[in-house]
Amino acid sequence: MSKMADAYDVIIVGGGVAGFSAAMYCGRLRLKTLVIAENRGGTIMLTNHVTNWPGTKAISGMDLATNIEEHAKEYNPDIVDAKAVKAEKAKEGFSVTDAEGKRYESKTLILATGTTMRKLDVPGEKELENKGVHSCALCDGVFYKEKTIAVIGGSDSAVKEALLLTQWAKKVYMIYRKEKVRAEPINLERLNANRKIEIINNTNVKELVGKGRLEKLVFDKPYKGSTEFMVDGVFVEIGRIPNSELAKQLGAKLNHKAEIVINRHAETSVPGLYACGDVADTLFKQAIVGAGEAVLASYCAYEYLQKGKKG
Amino acid sequence: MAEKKKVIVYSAEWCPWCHKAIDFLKANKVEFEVRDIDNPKFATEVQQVSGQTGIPVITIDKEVIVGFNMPAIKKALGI
Repeated sequence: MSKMADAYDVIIVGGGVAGFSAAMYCGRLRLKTLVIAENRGGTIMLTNHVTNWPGTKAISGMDLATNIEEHAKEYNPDIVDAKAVKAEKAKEGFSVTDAEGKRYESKTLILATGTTMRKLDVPGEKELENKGVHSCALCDGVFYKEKTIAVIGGSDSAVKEALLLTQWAKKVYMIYRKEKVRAEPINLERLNANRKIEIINNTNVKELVGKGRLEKLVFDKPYKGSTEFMVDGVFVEIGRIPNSELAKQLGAKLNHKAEIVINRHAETSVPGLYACGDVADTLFKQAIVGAGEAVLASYCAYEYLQKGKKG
Repeated sequence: MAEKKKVIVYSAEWCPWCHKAIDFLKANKVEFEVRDIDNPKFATEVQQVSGQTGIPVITIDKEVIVGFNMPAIKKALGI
């Protein structure tokens, strides 16, 4: 009989830093583990230099994600490359169904489902996607050598995207709806020192215009006398939406941002269900935080199973 | 025996999802050609082939796949 036929001790949904950190620790705890991953690597893949991972001064996001995945694989979890679309309570705990209709069961469930890029939701955005409108500077910035581009957003991530893009572009505008960008102090220092970046604040983009390719942005108020702003490309970095649909299906408590509410043991409001990483209601979304939550989730799932055995 | 398909990966050295795509093809023992879009010739070519400026782009015979879409690649290769 295939080992896939039996219920797992734990299913981990998500293949990013949190997901594979949980898989690594569940392996150490000798839990029978399945990882269901839509995209192995997750959000950290979009970061060129991770410089806040303790013990490692600098590493690419891709290398960090790969290292964590390889570490987890030392413990031989089953891994399914698929999108998990449905979660239900089952006889022994939980069931998860993937996009191909395959169903898996487990006694506990850890959600490390991460987030999805928030869209601008303005006319032209969908039609011009990857035709001048992008969301990954690391992937697509190279197409804008010596061009004029814009980053929409004012978060720490937006600042990092703008800084990265200056290695190719001749000019990078940051367009932000508020007064002051909000980045970590170290990134603000880098931003202020970079002469290629100019900030257009208190401004919203209300339309992206172009025939087959982005030609200009339309602002909600004039900049240098015009609401039309010519650019070769734009990178949208206006935050992320938590992928908490599975938690919602299971009746777990979500906050006003639709993040999964967890306690300091990474427990959700549903017994046996845990969450970690960017999908959880953690204040500071960083890989190191997600990895820590993942370890807690794994240990608490283990404890939950031990208590069940003692019955 | 099925005829071998011509696989081209348009990528860049620093593009993480390009590396993932290449690793996936290698793991599945698929022969492929890499065209680095840091070369302006290939930067232009990938836009002509796919009608857009996002990478990776993987062409499998006449099929064009934008992004590291593992299910689509598997389907196109029949693996």
